[in-house]
Amino acid sequence: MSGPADGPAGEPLLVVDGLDVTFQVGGERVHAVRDVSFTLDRGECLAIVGESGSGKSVTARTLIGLTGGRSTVRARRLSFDGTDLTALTEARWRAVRGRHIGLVLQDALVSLDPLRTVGAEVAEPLHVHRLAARDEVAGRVTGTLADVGVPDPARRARQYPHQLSGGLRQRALIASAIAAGPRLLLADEPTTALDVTVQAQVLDLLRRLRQEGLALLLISHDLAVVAGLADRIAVMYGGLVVEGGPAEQVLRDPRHPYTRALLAAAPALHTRGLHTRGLHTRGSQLAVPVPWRPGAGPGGCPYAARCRLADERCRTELPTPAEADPEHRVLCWHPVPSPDPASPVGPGVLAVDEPPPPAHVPTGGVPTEVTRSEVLLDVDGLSRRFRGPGGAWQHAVDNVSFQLRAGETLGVVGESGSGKTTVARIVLGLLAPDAGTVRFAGVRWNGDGVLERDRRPHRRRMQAVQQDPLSSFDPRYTVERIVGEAVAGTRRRGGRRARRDRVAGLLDQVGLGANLLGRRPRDLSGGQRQRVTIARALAPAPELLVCDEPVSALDVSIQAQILDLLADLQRDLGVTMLFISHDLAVIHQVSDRLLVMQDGRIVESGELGQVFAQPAHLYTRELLAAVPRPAEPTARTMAR
Amino acid sequence: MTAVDAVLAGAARRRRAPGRSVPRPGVLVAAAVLALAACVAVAPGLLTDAAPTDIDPVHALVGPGTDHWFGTDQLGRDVFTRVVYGARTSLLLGLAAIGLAVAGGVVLGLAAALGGRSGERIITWLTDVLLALPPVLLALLVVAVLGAGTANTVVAIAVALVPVYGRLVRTEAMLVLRSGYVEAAVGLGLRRGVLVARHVLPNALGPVLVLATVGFGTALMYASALSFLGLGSSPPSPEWGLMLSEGRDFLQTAWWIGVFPGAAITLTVIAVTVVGRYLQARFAGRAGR
Amino acid sequence: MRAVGPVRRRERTLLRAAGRRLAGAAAVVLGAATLAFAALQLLPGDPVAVLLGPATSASPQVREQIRADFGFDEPLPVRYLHYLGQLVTGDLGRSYQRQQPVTTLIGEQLWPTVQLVAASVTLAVVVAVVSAVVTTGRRSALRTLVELVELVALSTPHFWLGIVLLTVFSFRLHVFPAAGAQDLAALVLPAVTLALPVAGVLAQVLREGIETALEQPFVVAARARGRSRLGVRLRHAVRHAAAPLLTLTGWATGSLLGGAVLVETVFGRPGLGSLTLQAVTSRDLPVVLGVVLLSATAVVVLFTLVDLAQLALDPRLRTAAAL
Repeated sequence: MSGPADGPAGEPLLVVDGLDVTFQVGGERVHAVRDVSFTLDRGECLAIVGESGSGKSVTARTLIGLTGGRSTVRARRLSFDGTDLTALTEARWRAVRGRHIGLVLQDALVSLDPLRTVGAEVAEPLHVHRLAARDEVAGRVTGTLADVGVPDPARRARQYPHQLSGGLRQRALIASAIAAGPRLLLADEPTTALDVTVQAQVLDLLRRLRQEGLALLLISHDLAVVAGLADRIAVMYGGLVVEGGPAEQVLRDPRHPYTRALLAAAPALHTRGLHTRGLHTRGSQLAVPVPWRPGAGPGGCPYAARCRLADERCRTELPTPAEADPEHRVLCWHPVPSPDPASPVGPGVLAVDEPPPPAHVPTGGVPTEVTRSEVLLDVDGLSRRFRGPGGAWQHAVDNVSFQLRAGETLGVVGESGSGKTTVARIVLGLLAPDAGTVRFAGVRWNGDGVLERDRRPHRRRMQAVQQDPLSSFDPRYTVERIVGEAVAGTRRRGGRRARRDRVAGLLDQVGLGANLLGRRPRDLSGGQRQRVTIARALAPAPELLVCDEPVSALDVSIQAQILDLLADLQRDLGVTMLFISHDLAVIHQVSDRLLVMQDGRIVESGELGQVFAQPAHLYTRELLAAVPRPAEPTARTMAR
Repeated sequence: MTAVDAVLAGAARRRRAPGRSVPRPGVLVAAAVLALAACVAVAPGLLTDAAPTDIDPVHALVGPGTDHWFGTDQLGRDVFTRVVYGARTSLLLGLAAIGLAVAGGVVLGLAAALGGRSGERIITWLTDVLLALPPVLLALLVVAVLGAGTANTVVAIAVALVPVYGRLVRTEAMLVLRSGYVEAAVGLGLRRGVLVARHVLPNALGPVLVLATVGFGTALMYASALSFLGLGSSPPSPEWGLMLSEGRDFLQTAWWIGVFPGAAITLTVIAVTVVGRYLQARFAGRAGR
Repeated sequence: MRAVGPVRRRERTLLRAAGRRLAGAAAVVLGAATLAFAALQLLPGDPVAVLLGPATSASPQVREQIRADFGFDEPLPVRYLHYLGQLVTGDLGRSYQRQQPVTTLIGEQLWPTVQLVAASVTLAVVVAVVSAVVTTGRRSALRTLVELVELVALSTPHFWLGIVLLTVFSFRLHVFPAAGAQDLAALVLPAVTLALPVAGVLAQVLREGIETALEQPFVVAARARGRSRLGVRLRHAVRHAAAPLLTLTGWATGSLLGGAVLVETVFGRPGLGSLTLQAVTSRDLPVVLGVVLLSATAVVVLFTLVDLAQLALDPRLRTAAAL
């Protein structure tokens, strides 16, 4: 164990100065990280935030020497505890990895070797670095597992990763990274695959480790996740740190347009159906943003292609750091000046508990024949069991009843395994319940011996928007054929031409151009694909739209656009929606009423505002508390 | 001999072709070889003036040279001409066998995928049984029951390969049936028959046909093997396996009689394998599942 | 006391999983036997005529006698049960042609074939492991060459490979004998011929397995704990690569058994191959069925063993098996 006095006096534990990483991909050189500089000290947490491809993960990998054979790493300085990392040979790197610097990856199910016991994985750094005698290893392993909050550590150590729950697995992965007592922990999306409540627990663990003196480099795509933990935040885009500074300043007073977009796009718990809050004008908000392409405009700002403020200079010349104050650096020609109370991105976004409008009433375009009071979907006493691991029958859905009135949007929220997707599948008539019935628009729809034959004539009145659009398209079909299949209810009325026009009209309705008609779904972006799914679902003019996690596979900024689109369509067409999501913030943006599900049961239901303001059930309160919020630093300080 | 089958079955499981590293020029060469074989099978007269059954006892057992590129056999027939003419028989045998096997596989596989629980059990059990029998022995068994002859060989090879394709079609069809787009189509109120014809069959068939390319090589190999054993084509017809078998008696004195037809088989199978795997690698990535 | 419970339960579920696999294997063997019986019934023409051969002009009395002797008179279900009963007692019937029990005929020819297949399996596995491990994860001229050789090997028909090897090593270089099964030298060429195509497949699958394993995130995690490249390969990747290789063992054995027929013909070796071929040519169905059933049983036993080995190797399968 080396003492804290190892490094030169007064120098931080980790110094990164002018880091450049390039990859050789095919014949092309990709500049993944450009001129990145930061420092990190004991007990400190720096968060690097950015979307996939921003260079944040590469930066972390550089610090552990695992960028791979096709990369070139250059830096003015790269020193850890006084050691020059750029000069390390592979053998000396091995002595550093795990021993002095640990790494935690995203999904513990694949980051822990599935064929080895949890204990063997946690013991690995001890063996590799010869830190414990053979008979001490077991004790050290259980000790470390207990440290990270794994209950019954001796038993867990004997189990295999797939036998542990997601949260325990992630804790075990963290244990394997800190078993040899490193002083720096690199955590690359450590909570991304987890449910919110579990995510909150893992973040708590990381916070505790930091308080115990560990230096933490946290990598995430989600500003909200890092908000409660980071001392400083660096936002990366296109390989550059576009904004960096103390966490509170970056969150309260974002200066770079990209940071503001990230903050604004994160669905917050306070507004419903807001149009991506001022970042787009009404006309352009349905326009699909140009995806960032590496190498587009080598000299210019990488964000220029997506930036509303971009001008000619942005496209040709790389911005120099504009320093509001030396602590808070922004890489932009047009830094947003100062917090403007009138701006829609202002404090309003960051406020946490602004009460929502109580009962949302759709404002326009509600068809007159559908009255507000008519029950469109009546779900009564649904139960469905499956064989669980271990062979025992488990209730996926247990006596679930609810009603959905025409024109309203009902949100169903729950974590994985809560049974919400099973409910959706039963409502959609894709799965028969063991008990209970579903009536839809007065028709016996599912359960009680209803057959597909009985449902078929009414199928087109209920449509679905699925989580993974790509898998919901026949891979041989073009966009025109995909949507066309849904249009063609009656055969050949008006012929091919009319159908094509109708498809183009539907695409226009969801903000897609007719130029996409001949494209195949795999050539579209994630947001475009989801729009095509929505267009297909709208084609038969359904009365009910069942959306099962429609945005969870999308990047945050795209998420916001799709939610806006759904809210618009709901308002304009008066379609009724059953909206299922694990994300309270997403639910919050679109729903009138809310059901909270846990372990197959409905634990709470009610008007949206009421549930959010006064959650009655303990679990709802837990869920609400676990939602990460960009403005948490303040909330936390105030709470103490 | 049945080596290709394992890759075939394995690749179906992993949805990714091994040997994806075959370089592009290799694929082009292989495609050219196949194109040549196909041309020769259609019009053998393009490459040679002689007839495959022209006997010339004076020039029997002449070694390879400018007059006879591949030499002559014990009856003085030109080996090159016979190899060229043999392409048609050999390719046709392979094609017929694989076609029959895929057709049988589609019937079995779809029946298993759509036939409900009991249908699935019975067919799965049947394919399990057939898969437990080594393919060559299964083919030999069929020949023993039906008797020797070209048509019977084709049936025998098809029977030996059918379980592989039956299982493959079933797996693919089940994948498609569980896919989001079939759910979407159900949601549009399509009837089961329309659903199968429009979505299930075309999408399940794609990967099967790609794998059948490699299977064509296997079938070709089996066909020549059965001829080699004296159970398929009968003399004097020029068939690669049969020629190889005839050449076996002259290995010490005239190696070329057997070696060239064998080289033709091997070259064709290699070309088929390379092209088949290239297609596999290409389409496995495009299926988008 | 508390610790005993879960362990017992786990053992019991594993035993049950093993039992289920054995039952499945038995069902497949029963299916093969049924198929064999069906084949016997399907044989076109009068089995007595086949039995007597085309030249004989036996009196109807003699024919009836043979009929009764071979049990051709009984009703179908009785014959089926009788057939199964015979199989269980290890009686594979009598050869139509040679008038000897099939078991005896197979017994006489079994040993050379077993020798050949065993030698080939060993050779194929050794060649495959060496060629895969040496070239894994490298982009080099050597790897390209090795992969090309593998491709050629797995596409080459056994019978042609045998003939080429014979021509070169026996008739030109006179290194190995051309025929027979007298000594070890006579085993070399047939074993190589039989092994190479299978080795090509095994090598490709093994290399792919190792490389797939090396792409997994847990490899990065292990390296981040300080494991060396080699250490990751030995401690993590090899176990993952073993699974696809094991899966192929059953298939490979079947392939070798089938290939043996051809290789034995090429090299004029005695063995099950020549026995089978003669029986097929003379349509001596009981002998063919005997060989097929024996091979099927061997393959099924191997498949089952492989399945159980996979259970031992992969804890995820154990959990799934307990369902």
